[in-house]
Amino acid sequence: MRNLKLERRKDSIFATSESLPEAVEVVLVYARPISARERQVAVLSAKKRKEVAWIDSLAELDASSRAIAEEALYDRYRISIVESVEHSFVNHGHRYLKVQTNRGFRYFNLKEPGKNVTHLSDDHLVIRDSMGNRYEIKSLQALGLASRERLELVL
Amino acid sequence: MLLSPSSPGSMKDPNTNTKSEIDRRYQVVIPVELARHIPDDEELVVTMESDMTRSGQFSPSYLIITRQRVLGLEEGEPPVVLPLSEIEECETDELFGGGRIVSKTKDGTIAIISFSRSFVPEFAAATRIIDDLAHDRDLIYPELEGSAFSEGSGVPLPERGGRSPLDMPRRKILKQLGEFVRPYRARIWIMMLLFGLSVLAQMTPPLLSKFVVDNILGQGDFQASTPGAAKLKLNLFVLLIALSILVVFVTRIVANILKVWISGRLTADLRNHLHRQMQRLTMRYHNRKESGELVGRVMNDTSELQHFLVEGVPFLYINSLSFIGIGAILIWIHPLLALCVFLPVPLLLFGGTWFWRRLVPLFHKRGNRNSVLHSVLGESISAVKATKALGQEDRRHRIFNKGNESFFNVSFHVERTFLGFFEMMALMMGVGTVAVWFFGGHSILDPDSDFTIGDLVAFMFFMAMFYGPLQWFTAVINWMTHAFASSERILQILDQKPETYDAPNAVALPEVEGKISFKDVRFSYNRGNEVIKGLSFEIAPGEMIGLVGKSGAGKSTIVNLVCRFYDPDSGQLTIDTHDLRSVKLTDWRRHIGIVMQDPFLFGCSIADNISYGNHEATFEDIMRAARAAEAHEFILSKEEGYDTVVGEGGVDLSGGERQRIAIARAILSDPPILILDEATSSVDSETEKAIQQAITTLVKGRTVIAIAHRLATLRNADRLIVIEDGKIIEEGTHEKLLGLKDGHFANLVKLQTENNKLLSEQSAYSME
Repeated sequence: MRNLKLERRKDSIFATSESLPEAVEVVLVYARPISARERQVAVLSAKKRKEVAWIDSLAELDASSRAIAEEALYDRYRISIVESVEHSFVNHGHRYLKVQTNRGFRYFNLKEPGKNVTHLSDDHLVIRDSMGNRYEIKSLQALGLASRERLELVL
Repeated sequence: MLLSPSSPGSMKDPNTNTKSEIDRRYQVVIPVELARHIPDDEELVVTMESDMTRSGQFSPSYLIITRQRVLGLEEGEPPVVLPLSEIEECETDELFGGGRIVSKTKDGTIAIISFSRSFVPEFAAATRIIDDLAHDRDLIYPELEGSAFSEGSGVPLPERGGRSPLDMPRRKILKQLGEFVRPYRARIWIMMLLFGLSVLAQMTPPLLSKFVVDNILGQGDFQASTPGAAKLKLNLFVLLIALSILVVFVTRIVANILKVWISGRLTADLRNHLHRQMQRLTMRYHNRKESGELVGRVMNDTSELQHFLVEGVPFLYINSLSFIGIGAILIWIHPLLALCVFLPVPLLLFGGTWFWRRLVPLFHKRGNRNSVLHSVLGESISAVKATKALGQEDRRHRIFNKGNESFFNVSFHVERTFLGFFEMMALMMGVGTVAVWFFGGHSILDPDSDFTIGDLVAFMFFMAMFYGPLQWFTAVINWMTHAFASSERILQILDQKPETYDAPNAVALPEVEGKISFKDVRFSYNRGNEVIKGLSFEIAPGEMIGLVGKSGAGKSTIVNLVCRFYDPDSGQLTIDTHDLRSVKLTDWRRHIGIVMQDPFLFGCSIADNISYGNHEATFEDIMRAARAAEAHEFILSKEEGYDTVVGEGGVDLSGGERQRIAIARAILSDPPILILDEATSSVDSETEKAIQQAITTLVKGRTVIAIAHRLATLRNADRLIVIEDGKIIEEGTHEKLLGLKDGHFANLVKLQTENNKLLSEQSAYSME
């Protein structure tokens, strides 16, 4: 989409472009929110969720629009990046994890790791807790030995 | 200091609320530093806590709804204050990993509060309250789904409204299980008595052996008395030993038979209770659960419990008695040497605990890897055709191989740790044995000691009896933890509130005329996602209405509500003059016949399937219904006719055949209210014609609600209701709606006609 411009009005985002002369309220969504975030963003109309624009890379946007897009995407994709695993235990067959994330501390229950842990690679995984909240571990190696061992206990 | 909703300006129980008590989650206390933003003179309607700030950080934030405004409060941030009068629309904006309440105002969209997935139902309900108040509708507190956290300790729960095993005292589990044990108390007492006797009898041979060695074979009677007298004594003692072995044999065999019977009986009772309970649980509960998980609870959890009852409980009981008895005897024989035997005990117990702590997660891990491997294998087999067609055999194999390797690694780890554990246990016990030989042997050689060879022999016997089960003690205790977990999962189902079939004040409904009314009905499967949005309409007795709309518009939900598979979140659904919630459920469902898109056939004969809702029907009745449903002839064409077993493991029937059996079932039960949910979809034109013919017979004189994607099939309906996004957008006869310029129904018909034309052209082209 050429000349796509994003503008924030209160908590809404409006888009204009050559093919969208009138500003349309939009939401920005990743095409692949688990496996390839930060690329390939679809711009959907807020009302009917119809695609109005496509962004291959946020670098295509001007600085202001890019900042708005980044903020909107961070706000919409509330996936927490695990920084350390502070405690883990199994009790009565239930798994519990206490983790420090980029969004703060979290204590959650993990059911059936076979189903709720997505291994994007041997080092990169996404955990979904029993309520559907997601926690991403970008690198097991970078997590440190103590955190890895705690994680190993429940995965 | 905190401000609670019961302080000045507290929450009132509105008389419009259907709940006698308001959920506590609507009335949390607000930290006083934030409460200062709330105007003193305004009535608090809702004070709720979220776990996330608007910027997406995990930190508490609060939603306040008063009669005048809505506030979003969080520490260190300016409050969001929005007068209700400025709200045009309030909705939940679903985010990835959470959500937020947003309000549309003339100035734009304003986000009031954010929440993680753990709070979706709570804030969906709050959204509804804000929207109702902003539009001067009655204040109703929607019933909330169970919380994501344990009420007592705040522990995250594996499922909403469940119980945390961390909060569940074992005493309570035992008490609940005790109710199942009650009928078999007498047998249990007899079993315990017999096991106790067997323990006593088991201790006799070592003691008798000591006597034989010391007093008959050793320096006692054997040398002092005549050989004949000594032999007689020896025979007597051997006989006593044989007798005690016989007592052990008899008591054990009877006690074990009782044990197997009681544990089998208990688990069979539990399975029965679970099955019955599952039949009565609400559809909302079943929608949340996978069938595999429930099957697992009925079969695996009860088996786990049975296994523990058969092996674990007697083990703990018998060996606890043995330890106390043997310990006392060893101290009696030689206190110092007894100490040598007891020395490794703490090591064995602590070592065992340490090992089991390491082993249990490994067992879980092995279980997980195993189930992953199972599912990969299952998919490989079921998708073999697609795999071949796409030429992806190697890729599938790589996926399997990866899972297989992972399973091997963890299995090896488990076995290695297990092996190490038992070898360490054996080593520690060996230390005890060495100590007894050393100190015992020296005591015998010591002329001042009264420790005899007989004592040493008895010691050796008892030591084997003492150490043998010790290595399993921690394993059994761990096993007990699993059994408690299984019990807890079983009790979780048994504790669920079932559908109220016959409430004490429920109205009997022997007959119905068939008038159905929806009055401002709202409904959501998952809180936060309303699928029926204030629906009002009436169906007269004997009237046939057609529900039309796109997929997901809410048509099938209307049918679900009529069948009372779900109750509305708000509003009223009445049959004749009765609120549907106030009538006996069993009576109501007897008056409804349903023919679904993909009717379920049970694993029994066709005749039994037709008479499934009416067991008293004669074969003539069944045949008459099948004839009316245009099913008789195809049934006769089957090799086993009406005896043909269908359903799971039976003969496969085509979609049209299944539907005609379902129609025959509905005809036989002769209900005054009939629901046809896509009854003629996915069948060819000829079959559709046959089904339509059957339906024409079926609908006569009944109140009918029909859903069909093929709009032409609704031509005979007295009235059509067009649904979009949970609301009625058009209503009228087929002709009237067709005549509406730019009408939704007219457009749908036009689209479908064009599609059909295109399809027939394509088919003609391919024929050429």
